[in-house]
Amino acid sequence: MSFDLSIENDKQDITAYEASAWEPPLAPLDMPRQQLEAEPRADRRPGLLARAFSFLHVA
Amino acid sequence: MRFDPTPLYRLAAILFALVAAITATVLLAEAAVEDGLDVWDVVRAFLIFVTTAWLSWGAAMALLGLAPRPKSFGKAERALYRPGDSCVVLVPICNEDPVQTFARIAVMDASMRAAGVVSDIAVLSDTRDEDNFRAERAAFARLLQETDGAGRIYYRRRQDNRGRKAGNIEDFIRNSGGAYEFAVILDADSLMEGQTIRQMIARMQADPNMGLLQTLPKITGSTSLFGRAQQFAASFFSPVFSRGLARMQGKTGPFWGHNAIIRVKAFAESCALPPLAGKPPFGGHILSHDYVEAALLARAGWTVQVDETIEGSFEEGPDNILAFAKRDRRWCQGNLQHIRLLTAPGLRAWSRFVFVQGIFAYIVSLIWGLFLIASVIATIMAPLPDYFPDPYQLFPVFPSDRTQQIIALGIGIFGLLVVPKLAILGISAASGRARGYGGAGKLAASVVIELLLSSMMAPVMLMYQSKAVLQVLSGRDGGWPANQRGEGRLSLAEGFAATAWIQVFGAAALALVWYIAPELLIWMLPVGVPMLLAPWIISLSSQPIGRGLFVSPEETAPSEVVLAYRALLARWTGTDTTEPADTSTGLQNGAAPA
Repeated sequence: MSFDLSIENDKQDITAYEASAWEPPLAPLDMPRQQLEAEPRADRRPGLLARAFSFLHVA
Repeated sequence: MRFDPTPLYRLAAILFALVAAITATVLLAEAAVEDGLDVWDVVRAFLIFVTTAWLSWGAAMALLGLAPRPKSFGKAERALYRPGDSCVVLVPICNEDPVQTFARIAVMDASMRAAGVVSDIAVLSDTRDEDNFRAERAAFARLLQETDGAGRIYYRRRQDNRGRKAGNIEDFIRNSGGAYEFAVILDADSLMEGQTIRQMIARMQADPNMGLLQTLPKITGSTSLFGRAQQFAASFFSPVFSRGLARMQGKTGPFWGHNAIIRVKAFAESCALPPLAGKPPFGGHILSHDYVEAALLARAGWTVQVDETIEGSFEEGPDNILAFAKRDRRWCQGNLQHIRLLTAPGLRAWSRFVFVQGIFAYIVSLIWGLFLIASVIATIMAPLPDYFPDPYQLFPVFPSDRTQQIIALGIGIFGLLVVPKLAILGISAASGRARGYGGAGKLAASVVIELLLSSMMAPVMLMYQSKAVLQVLSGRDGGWPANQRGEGRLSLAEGFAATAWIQVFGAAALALVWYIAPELLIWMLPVGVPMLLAPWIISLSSQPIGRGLFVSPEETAPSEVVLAYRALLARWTGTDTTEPADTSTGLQNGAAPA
């Protein structure tokens, strides 16, 4: 038996199975966004390192 | 309170690296200042300090891993599996071969049920190609049919693939994470024994502070010379290097993105990654998210550990150098992006140090290149020897010969690369571990050929890595190309097309050195000749080889789940000639479909 992936051959199966839930169970969990960089401040001048490596776009 | 030796291991590794780097610097400086000190001598001394420190660090990791774990290590914790805690196996995919991916899932599902593990499986698709998406749906329908997995095996496709793999997993946890205590994170090419997952869950249950447990996946299914060399190295050397790494990192361990288990609550609390300000390559979504997630779990106080003793964890690897270099380009950009995170608030000092190591893993290629260039320039700029420094001098004064220092330096650097591997070979021959690799003789042959092969490939990889670093530093985004898995045979024409620039560079460098500093030519040959031979190296190493070389226990006594996967894949793709009458029953009953 070969596994034919054509959608036509599997149309019946897909229709049958899509009737049941393919999606994982709904059980929301809070995921707070982490802080990895200091908030940019308008009044803050870039530091020495930031200026030296500004060509790397990392400042 | 139990004594934690982690700081001692770290101190030993740092001291070893410092002593080796200082020794190399002194040897080079002594030889270099013979004809007077100039700026290029200082540059060379600095570069050799940095590169030797890096090599020594790798050697220290291997040496720390030489001593085996106690036989009882982790055994008690792994035996205490409680089926009460809910678990899900996550398989994030993006434009992968659906037949192979879903065949792996089918056999893992059967293996888990045979091991008594109660777990759901969720396939998280980020596939954007519509044809591939349709093929995934068809394959999933067949998977459910054969495993009777409805309500236990899930499939969902995101509307957009924001945040790529990390975003894919985050999306699942936000929507469904509340249903699960633990999640095993896999890649599309991962395979795990049910017993392995059972042990991982038990380890998490035994230590409520464990946020993430990483296994060491072994590579399977490689057929080419390059692939089999990688497979052998992953099987033979990696457990020792990983044990050293585990001892150094302690509870601030690594996450390699797959073949690991997480505590969902810990991950949800700590690991929602923000996009970085600005555009790629340094801004945007975090590419090497796993390192960052490990650091964030540690920042929140969770334990992150690698346990190289857990068997039954597998993945596939690239079968040729070009596929390897393509993946390496993405990792390079991801690791260099961590420059932005070195000052992230609240991180453990060791996590920052791990970022530095990851950055260095790529920058060091460029530093080696700079060292070679600086050495040539220093030779050109050196003044001619003055045999008669004093007036009316009767006999000439010959400059003292510092060749010995240079040879000692060369031997030392070579030793840092080779001694750890030879030490692993020696200990394995003495301990009986060599039996799994075809015996001491065959193992020694495999180790020597692996060393020769990696020496030939190193200059080519140095060029690819240097190019990748320069591309990233100049602001070029490499994106996230799909991994190339499976058959990867390359013709000589493809080798020439991919490496013409390396050949031109190698030929130009050798010609230049021969013209301006012929005495240095012999030192440049080990780097220059492999560059000239790059097309042949790439093409020949991608060709299939027999199983006489690079034998590994994973091959001589394959895991049940690997055998089951091969059998099922053969049946699904119609290449099986020994199909049983009804193998789907085996899958549904949770037995391995051999």
